[in-house]
Amino acid sequence: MSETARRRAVVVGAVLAVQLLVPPLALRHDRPAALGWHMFVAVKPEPEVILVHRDGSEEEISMYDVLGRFRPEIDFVERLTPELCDRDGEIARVRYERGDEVLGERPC
Amino acid sequence: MLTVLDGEVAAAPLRWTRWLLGVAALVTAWDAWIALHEAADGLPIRTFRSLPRVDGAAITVVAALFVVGGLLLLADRAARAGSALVGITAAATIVGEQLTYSNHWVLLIATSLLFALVPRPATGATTVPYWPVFLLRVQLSSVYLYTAIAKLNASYFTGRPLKWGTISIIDENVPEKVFVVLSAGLLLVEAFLAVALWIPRLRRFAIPLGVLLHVSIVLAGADAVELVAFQLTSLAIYPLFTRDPAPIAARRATPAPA
Repeated sequence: MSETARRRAVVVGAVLAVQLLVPPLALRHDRPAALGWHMFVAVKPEPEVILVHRDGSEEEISMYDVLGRFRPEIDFVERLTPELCDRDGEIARVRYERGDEVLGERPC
Repeated sequence: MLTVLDGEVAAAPLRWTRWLLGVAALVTAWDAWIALHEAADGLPIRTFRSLPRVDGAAITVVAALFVVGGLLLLADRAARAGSALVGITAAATIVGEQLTYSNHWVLLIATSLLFALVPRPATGATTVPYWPVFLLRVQLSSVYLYTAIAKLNASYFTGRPLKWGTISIIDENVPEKVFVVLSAGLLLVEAFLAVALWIPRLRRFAIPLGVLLHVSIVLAGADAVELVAFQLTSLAIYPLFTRDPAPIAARRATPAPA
């Protein structure tokens, strides 16, 4: 095998690995998940966001109150919490619920 | 595997791929404009919180880069650079502002970066190396295969995901039971396409079926701009299934037609 063919083999192997091995990883998460080609596979409504203030009071807000655009594939529990906490110093924790299910709760 | 690495394939179909990718990039410029403005209206979801927020100027730059890349592809002037520009712009935007994540952006990234690897035919030649064309083919099959696998869940077979994704005139007037049947049919079509595009005797069915699938999604889908970009990018790969590769040695041994 020539040097050129060897280089091609490395590139082809690397790209094939991404094409064939990344989408199955997305199957481990709720659908739709990012990078899994989850088009029209499931309906995942936006969660309710509950702001728990330092005085113990709770305030429920809609995702659309704080995000101009909602993507169900995004891990908002980890990513949105610091943004919400930065916006209002009185928030102690943020909880995310979908129906009866608590998706996660993070302190500020 | 040797044909993949050493084979050549006719360059002519790549003209259609380039043209369709160029149009997809222009549509994505419009989509990026909408998506980034929507994202900028609320809190950001950033991968790197130290990055500045997307503002009006950044949105204009992103949209302009898509336009430049798209025009380079359409005009066949520095088309490989244009294709790379489209892919890098989309990737940088998704990483910078995760609220722009969309499957059509990811497919555009993969397709445009792979297309950038396809060299121009040498002067007087009518073929190009097969390996980047092979990877583009695998990309489309991978989309069909994994979207079919992901649809194997109870929620999908209620028909609701498909119903939710269609335009209101269909959503409101077509009974849910019809969507159950359509959902099963869609899954079967996608699984079929993942395999059949590679089998020469099945291509005569697979290519028209795939084109019909993508046109139907544009006509019936609820989010037109996003959907058009995705279908154009998918369809851009179809011409690459119309010619099969041959080892270089075999091509050289074949006498030219009189």
